[in-house]
Amino acid sequence: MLELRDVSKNFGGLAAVSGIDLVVRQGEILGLIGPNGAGKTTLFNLVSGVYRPDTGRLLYRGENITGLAPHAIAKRGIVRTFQLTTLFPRFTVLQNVLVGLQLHARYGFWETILNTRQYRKKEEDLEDQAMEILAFLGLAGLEGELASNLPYGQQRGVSIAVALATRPEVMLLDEPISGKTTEERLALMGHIRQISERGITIVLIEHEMAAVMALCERICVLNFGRKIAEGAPEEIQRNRAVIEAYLGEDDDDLA
Amino acid sequence: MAKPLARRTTIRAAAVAALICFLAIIPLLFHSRYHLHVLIVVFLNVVWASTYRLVLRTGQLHFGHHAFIALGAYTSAVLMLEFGVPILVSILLAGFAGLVFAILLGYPSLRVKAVYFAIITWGAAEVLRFVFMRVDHPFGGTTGLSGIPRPNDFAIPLLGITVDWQSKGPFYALALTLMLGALLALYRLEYSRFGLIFNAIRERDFLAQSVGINIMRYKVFAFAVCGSLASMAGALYANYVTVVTPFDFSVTLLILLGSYILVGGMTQFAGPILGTCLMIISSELLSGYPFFKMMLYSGLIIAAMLFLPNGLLGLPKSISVAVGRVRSRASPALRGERDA
Amino acid sequence: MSSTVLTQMLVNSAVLAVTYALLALGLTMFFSVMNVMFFPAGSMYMIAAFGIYYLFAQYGMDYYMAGVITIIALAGLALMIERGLYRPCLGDTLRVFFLGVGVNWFLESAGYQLFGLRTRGVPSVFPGTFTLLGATLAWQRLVVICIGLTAVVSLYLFLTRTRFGLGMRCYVESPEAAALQGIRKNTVLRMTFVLGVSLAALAGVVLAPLVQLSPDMGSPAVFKAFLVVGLGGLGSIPGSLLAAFILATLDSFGSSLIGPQFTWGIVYFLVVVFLTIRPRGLMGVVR
Repeated sequence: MLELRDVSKNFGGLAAVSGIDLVVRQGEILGLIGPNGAGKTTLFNLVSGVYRPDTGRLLYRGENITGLAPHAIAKRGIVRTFQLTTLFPRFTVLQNVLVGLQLHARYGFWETILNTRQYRKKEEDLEDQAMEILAFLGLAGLEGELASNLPYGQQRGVSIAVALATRPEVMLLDEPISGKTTEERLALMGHIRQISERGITIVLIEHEMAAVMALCERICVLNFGRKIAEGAPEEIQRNRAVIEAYLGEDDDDLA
Repeated sequence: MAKPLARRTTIRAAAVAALICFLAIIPLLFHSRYHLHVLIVVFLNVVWASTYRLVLRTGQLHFGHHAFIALGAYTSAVLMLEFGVPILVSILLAGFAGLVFAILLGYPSLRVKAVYFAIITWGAAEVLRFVFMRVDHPFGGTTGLSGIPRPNDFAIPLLGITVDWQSKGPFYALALTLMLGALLALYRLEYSRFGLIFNAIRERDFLAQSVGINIMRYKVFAFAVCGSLASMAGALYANYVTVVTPFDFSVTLLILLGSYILVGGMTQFAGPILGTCLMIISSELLSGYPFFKMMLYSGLIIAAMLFLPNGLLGLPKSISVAVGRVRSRASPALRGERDA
Repeated sequence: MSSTVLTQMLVNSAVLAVTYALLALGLTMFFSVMNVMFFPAGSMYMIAAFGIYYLFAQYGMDYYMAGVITIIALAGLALMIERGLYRPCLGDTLRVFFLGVGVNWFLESAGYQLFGLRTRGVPSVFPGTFTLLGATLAWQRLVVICIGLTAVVSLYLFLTRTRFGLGMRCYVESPEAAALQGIRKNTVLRMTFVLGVSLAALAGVVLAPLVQLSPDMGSPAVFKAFLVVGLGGLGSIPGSLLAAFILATLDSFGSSLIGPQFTWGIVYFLVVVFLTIRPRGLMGVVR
């Protein structure tokens, strides 16, 4: 469904990502792991259009999406979250989700100006859709809260809600689970599974190995910008190259 | 961007409607030419300031808004003097000119970083001013264009009134209509999906992009709407004063508009309206002391930036922020809470 | 074109280049350290020129003494502005921008109030002329060029050899790293203000004998300086110098050949087009 062919990106001589070949199958949950600086977020940036690859091509459903602007890629159904902030801190939770819903909302200039009944109905529909998404993620009741006032865990939930609002086919989640309490972690893992059950393909960057092993059907491992392993979780756990790559990191990570 | 409660909305709507009716019948009540003149100037400036604010609210450092005003004024003047176009048509065409100029200027320049956009828009305004100053035909060069014709007086038999273009009445009506129309459009945009998108673009544009919002399209859209409305008001201005020179629309005008917005409050829709009224009226009161007036204006801007970054309408917010800061300094528990 | 005219135009462009360079360098300091378009530089320039007018031309003080006093006074004013007005506002670009506009306007209107509308002139400090390649040139102009070059070189030395200069550059690269090195942010800010304003003041002091003084002389100068900085690339010193040189040459030759109005119209247009294609200017850093 989503294919990367020989994708590379250099920054001033430093190869952030080189020669990546990857196929993401429809409906799967693919984990993308690797030590810090391996190029995972860069890969997301390449797929989502923030960077243009130096070499290689990106194909989505057979269509060449290399070099498209980020909004065009989102329009085609690939949406991503960011590691640090994927929300608008000064908006309420509801407003945040509504931004995500803009992609598929159909409204014109004149009906807005004239405040037609059609327009008002569309507004109400959008709000209902937003509430549905929030409820799905267990965030109902928070819609009036200012996003920046929420605890970190709920903020992550909101950012996933915003991404869901764009009715994606593929979601690229950048470390959604790290740094949360155990209940939050389990809840979020549950949500990710539910999202996957709805047919949405998910690519997950994560440092929380337990979560990755539990959630992902396949895992791809990057190190120094190259793919060093790919396969089912059990294979990855035993893969020598992967273990070596992580030797510089905490051993607990692979537990 | 809090949503008003239903009752608050109705009260507000009623108050606004009452105000509009009052404004509409003022020319019948007061016949002082001077006061009507001041109001006309206020109405036009409100349009300019409000449109300027919307562009700023999309996160652009717009330094060339006065170009649209000049463009509108000159377009209308030239159309009427050279081609005998009637006044209303010339105003509409001026608006169209503003639209085209905004699109031509906007597409290449709205992509770039804020500061560069400032330089580019300001440069564009200077180029335009230079063209008007240097080209004698049809722009009249440094002496500008004068003698813009007033439309013929005509009588409306049904209502039994004669529309006398020499009096302030008709221009007052036109200015009021234009202002109300512009404000309606701007208001509806601000409190709609468009407004949400504009705010999103301003706050985190990369995020807006990643959820599929084509930020260039919306930025150009805001730029174009504001540009054409400003041009139309500029055209009306030209017709009102019957003279346009290149010196009428300099950076000083831009700074004045900016100060109206800042003093009134940039974050609030009504900010530029309040700021414009306040500052133009105080300007009229101080008209005997030109330099002192400038010092007062600039002093107000400085004071506003220091103490009221959200302007006068943002006063409640500024106060609550200041109070919050004092309280959190006093109580560690509160400080911990605020860090969540 | 005769060598006489050519020489005169070259000298002219050198003088202009020095003017633009001094102002532009001051603005670049502000831009690279604080991301601020420092408008008040214009009125500082104007006040410095009037300072020379009153101290040197009216009061009879020695020119150098007058210059030094003026610059120090304006540096002091700069520090007050920094502490009282700018420091609370830094971080919010729009706020700082309009604060600058307000301060500049205030100083300018104070200038109108104090100095009146009448234009003044300051007599030459170095009267007399000399001939070079058949052209008659005023000594004053040569002195201006020399002082300007000295200032630029001094700035370079300051930024590369002294502790303060290096500290500033370190801060520009990375405020966090600078903090770790013990370089205090407030010191850097103060230094920027002092340096930037002193350069603008120096421009005013040095050009006073050459130009017509009026309270509105600051704005056109600072706007041209912004053009220079924008063209050169915000935050780049070599860029500003290069741009100052280019624009001064264009200005000088253009003004003689087709008149100042036309020249600047074309220059604005060219710069706008150039910046649209290459927003980072000639040598700007892409951050």
